[in-house]
Amino acid sequence: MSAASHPAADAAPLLRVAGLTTELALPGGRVRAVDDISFAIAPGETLGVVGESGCGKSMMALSLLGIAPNPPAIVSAGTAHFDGVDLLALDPAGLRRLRGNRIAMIFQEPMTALNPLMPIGAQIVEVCRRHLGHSRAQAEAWAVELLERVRIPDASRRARDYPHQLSGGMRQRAMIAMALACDPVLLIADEPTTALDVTIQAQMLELISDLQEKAGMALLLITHDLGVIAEMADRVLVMYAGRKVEEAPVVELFNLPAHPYTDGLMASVPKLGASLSGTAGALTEIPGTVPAPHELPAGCAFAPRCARADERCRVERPILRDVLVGHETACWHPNQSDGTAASARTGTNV
Amino acid sequence: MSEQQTLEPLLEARDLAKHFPLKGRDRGRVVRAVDGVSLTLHAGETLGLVGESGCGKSTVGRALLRLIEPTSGQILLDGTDITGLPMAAFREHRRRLQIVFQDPFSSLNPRHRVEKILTAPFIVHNTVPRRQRRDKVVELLQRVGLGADHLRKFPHEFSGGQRQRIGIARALALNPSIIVCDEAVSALDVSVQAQIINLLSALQRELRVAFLFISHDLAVVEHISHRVAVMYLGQIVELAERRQIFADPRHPYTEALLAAVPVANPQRPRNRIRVVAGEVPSPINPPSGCRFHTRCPLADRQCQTQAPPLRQDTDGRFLACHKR
Ligand SMILES: Nc1ncnc2c1ncn2[C@@H]1O[C@H](COP(=O)(O)OP(=O)(O)OP(=O)(O)O)[C@@H](O)[C@H]1O
Ligand SMILES: Nc1ncnc2c1ncn2[C@@H]1O[C@H](COP(=O)(O)OP(=O)(O)OP(=O)(O)O)[C@@H](O)[C@H]1O
Ligand code: SF4
Ligand SMILES: [Mg+2]
Ligand SMILES: [Mg+2]
Repeated sequence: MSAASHPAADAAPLLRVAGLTTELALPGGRVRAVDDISFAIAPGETLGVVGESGCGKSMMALSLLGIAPNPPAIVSAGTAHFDGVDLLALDPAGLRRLRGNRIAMIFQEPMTALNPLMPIGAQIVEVCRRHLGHSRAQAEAWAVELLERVRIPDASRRARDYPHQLSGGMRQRAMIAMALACDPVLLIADEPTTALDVTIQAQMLELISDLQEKAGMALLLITHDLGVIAEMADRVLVMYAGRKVEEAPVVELFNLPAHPYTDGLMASVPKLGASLSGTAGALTEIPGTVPAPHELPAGCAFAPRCARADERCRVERPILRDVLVGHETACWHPNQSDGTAASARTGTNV
Repeated sequence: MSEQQTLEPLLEARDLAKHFPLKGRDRGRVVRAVDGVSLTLHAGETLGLVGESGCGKSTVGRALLRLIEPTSGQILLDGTDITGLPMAAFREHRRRLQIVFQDPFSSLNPRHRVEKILTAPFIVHNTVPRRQRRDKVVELLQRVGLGADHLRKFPHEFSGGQRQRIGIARALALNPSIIVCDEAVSALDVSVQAQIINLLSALQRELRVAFLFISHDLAVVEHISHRVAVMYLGQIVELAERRQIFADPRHPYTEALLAAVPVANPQRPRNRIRVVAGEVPSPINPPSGCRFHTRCPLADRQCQTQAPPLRQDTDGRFLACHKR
């Protein structure tokens, strides 16, 4: 579904993040793990977040929820308005009331979210009693229904199992069931299927899309898998070294990536079926590696790896600018909407 | 690679099995991790090995190098059965078989400098005279795209991609004919993954080394392989040329696996019917008949009771299915 055809795309945002900055107080000094990130998500919409390992995706999600590990993480700037309330200004008790209730989250490793000493059913019951004020009987019935919804077979019996008694796929489903216990309006999912086999991943993605369609839940989906992004996202935010380098509707991002990093990312991934169309030559490489947070260059963080980098790129940090409506990028020489590079097209001679 | 098919294979596994005995409460039972796998590998070829977690891919790879001893079956290297060889006699052959793992860090000694790590194979197998060793190590580093300035560094001073290059350099040290790559690019970021995949392809062209390329990433396997074997619960269900597998998968499991891969094309219609139900059953107590019958949309009575043999189809592919 493209953003344009999405029923909720024009609705007022459910979450509006502005200037989110998270610093890490490390022995070598303070570094920015999340650097001035802004975005918005409408009800029912899916915003995908991609970027290389260590670029700050998890830190961004944890910062929004007030659970970034402190030390070393300190949210040093920004606002995150969720339904009129600034999450970043909210006290811990207020955040706890929202987390697991109107905002749910799921992580890559289900064991971090599940209590190993408690049957999964009992864990869901606890969440329902705390957040929804259910009676025990009410909560137990709801727990079984949730486990059925995520298609755990024989749910009423399985509810009595401890996490270690479940297979990896079932644990993941139990975690999703728990996340959904309070009918959240926003789900933050950080690499929710990365550890799963493709057939189980397909089941999970279908399940999440289903729930979004039925309940209008918004989704912030963090993944490094461009396939998952293409299947799920309405819009995509590309991060590099803590910064947002591009944001666009999903089809536009794949067809007309504006930033050289996005371009490189798209070209470096082998695509299923490529050998059949004879397009499976050598993969495009992005030379070099991501700079460590304490050795970021002064200008564009991508400049040391970028074929287009010039003097300006090396000294002046590019600001986010629109290349098309709803499509912005932080690059001094972005691809234009006809797919050419700015400098090539204008013949800039630098 | 049809030209290669007519040649003697470099490596051949015949009915290879590895059963791990269980301990404690389950004493007396076994995990049928690999249960009758036959495959061939030709010089200069890449055979991809795919399948879901726990289907036995790594066990096949390790058994081929006798890092674990197979329970039964034969491994032939250039026609010689190496399964029964005493370790001393096997060592000569072992040089020609190398492995690169997913996590190069855990397989590199953290207290040794790169020079020492890469010199070790020369010493163990006494292949390079002492005075030529440093030159040889520099040559190896250059082969994998690293400069001589890295000689004095320790593994922790390298990025993940660089460590994987060192793992590959070490595997190349003894001029192997075959390298088993067990999820060798799976832990790398995509931009670095592309660098390593291109490196492996270039090395294969230059050195005619054969790869058994184990991965759960089907797009990567498609990119790098000439032929592909699909495993399910310890057995090969389909083995064919790359084009046959990806253009025209015949085994219902191959079909299900390919259909489940999210494709990086947002214009493809979403919500396709692509979800195969259920999970992989336990290799301790695999289903009767065809092991895929509990999840297969085509399964009938015969599938429940009779195990389909791996047969060669008219188009040359190997396939184990009653219905296809
Ligand atoms: N507890 C911590 N202490 C110190 N540094 C940390 C800590 N957690 C994260 N970092 C650093 O913060 C930066 C951002 O990390 P983050 O986990 O957000 O990356 P990510 O984009 O989620 O990566 P991945 O794709 O690997 O999950 C990285 O440089 C990381 O090394
Ligand atoms: N040393 C061992 N002892 C007992 N069981 C083992 C041992 N090694 C592997 N197994 C079991 O054998 C089966 C096959 O394992 P193997 O590691 O070969 O799978 P794989 O296909 O490589 O999976 P993955 O994709 O997760 O790496 C699994 O059920 C595993 O638990
Ligand atoms: S700003 Fe310059 S260095 Fe950065 S991505 Fe754009 S062209 Fe490359
Ligand atoms: Mg992360
Ligand atoms: Mg393995």
